[in-house]
Amino acid sequence: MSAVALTVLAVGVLLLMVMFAARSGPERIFTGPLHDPSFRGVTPSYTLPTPPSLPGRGHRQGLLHGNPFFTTLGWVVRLLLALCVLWLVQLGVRRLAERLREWRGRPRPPRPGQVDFEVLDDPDPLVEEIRRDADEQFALLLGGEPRNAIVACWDRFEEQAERVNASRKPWETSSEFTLRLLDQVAADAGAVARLEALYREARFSEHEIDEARRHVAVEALRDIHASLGIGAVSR
Amino acid sequence: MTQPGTPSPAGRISVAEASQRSQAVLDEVERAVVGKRLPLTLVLAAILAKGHVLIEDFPGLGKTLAARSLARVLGLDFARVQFTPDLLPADITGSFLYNQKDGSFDFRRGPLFTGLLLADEINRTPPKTQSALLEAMQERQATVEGETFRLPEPFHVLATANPIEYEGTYPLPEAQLDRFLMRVSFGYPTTQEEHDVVTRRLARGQEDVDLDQVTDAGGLSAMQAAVEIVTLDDTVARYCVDLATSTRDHKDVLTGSSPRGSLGLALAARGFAVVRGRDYVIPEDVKAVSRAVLSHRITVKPELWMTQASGPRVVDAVLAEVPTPRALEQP
Repeated sequence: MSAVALTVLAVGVLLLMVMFAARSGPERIFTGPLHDPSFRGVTPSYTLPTPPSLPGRGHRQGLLHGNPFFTTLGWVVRLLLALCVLWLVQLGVRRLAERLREWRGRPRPPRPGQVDFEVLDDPDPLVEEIRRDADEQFALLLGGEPRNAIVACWDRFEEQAERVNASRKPWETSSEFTLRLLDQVAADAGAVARLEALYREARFSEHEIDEARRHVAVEALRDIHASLGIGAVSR
Repeated sequence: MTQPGTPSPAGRISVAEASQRSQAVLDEVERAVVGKRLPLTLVLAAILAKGHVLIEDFPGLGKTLAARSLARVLGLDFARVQFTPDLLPADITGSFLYNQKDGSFDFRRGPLFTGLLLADEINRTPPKTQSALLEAMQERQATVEGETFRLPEPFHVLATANPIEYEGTYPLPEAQLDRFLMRVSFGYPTTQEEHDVVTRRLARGQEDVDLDQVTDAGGLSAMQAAVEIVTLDDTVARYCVDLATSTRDHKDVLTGSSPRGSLGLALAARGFAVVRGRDYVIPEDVKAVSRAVLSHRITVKPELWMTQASGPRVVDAVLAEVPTPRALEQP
């Protein structure tokens, strides 16, 4: 806010200088009226003779206005001032535009029915991808430590979704994303809930995750696949 | 009623028992406070995390009823203080009175010495009195004329404030707001819930609701002890910290959440997990409590006061930006 105020102030001061320069010439800005007797406002009762050795006002004017160097210098100064003003104006306009954009881009309360995540138009490609990847997903669930296997199996749903361009938003939790996707493809809700509970326990708790839990996860995955019309896998 | 600080004969309890008891408490309180399960869950989670709660809502939405009901069902001593501009610190903490019999000064305890204190309209009293209460909230003790008195365990404050009336009020400074673990709003009931309120009252034939006591002060202490053994995975702890620190970088924010906000998120999420029946915290627990824990710790830039920028909106924005813990940790 203070930067905007300073910019406006600077633009204002420069505009005043430009106006003054346009009316009286740039040399007036730099020399000032202090040495000019016509600005004193008092008419002298007599006129001092101008010593021939000292340059008077007329002589100075002649020197400034008659000399092409000073004339060019004056125009250069005017041009530079104008450029400065233009630069400051565009700076101010850009700043205002940014503010306006920020204000317009401010998060608004979602309208009823509005969602901030992708909704699959056609769930078939995801079902096809889950079918294609079923063997590999089972292999992940059956291999290694039960805890890691269950987490890897759940994470595999995310990878399958990514392959059909339905990526998880960074702010979404894995559970939120996968539950939503499996709901869209109409997977067995009970089996999904069982596998999700096992995933959460394996991922975030310190409980012992044994082979019995793996067995429950295998059954849940099998039910999910069956509900999607995916036949028994070879393993 | 059981005296605060009375040890429970049951002693330590498991998380599963604490969870069952929490559900029983909520079921019972919901008989009086209709249709407010989520805000009541948040308040209970804060109490289980040994925190204090600021309830900011319009008049007539059940703030006092909720506090009274919780005190009754949890078996805590209950005291209510109506905060007014002329209230003095000694009116809350108590004071020494001259005993003419033996010529000594005896300490007469104020309403602070209770299990659950309802500080009604806390923003109507000057900062001097507010700070007397807030000091007790933080240190769980009161110092009167150089003598320190421990408050009973458990001790919780449910403070209320009206968010629309500002004339003649003393808004709590940010440093004092920070002492509340949560700020919760109950909001208006739905039409059906409001109809339930009316029909239940008519069927009851009296104003008061008779609620059963589910536990006692010792039982609540055991539930709070159970919360302490809830697991918080390191990635979830980092998520709490990321959420709190992100509020400091938001473009609308003058002052973001303090580190107490990160700690509050972790503690409140553990309480919430217990109410939900788990002995481990998941990122969804953190999300569920983040609005109540963080929004009152955020100060919006003064030039945005006339806009819709607010603490809850900043928290919503932060929740929509900060990455959650991944299923598989990256190497």
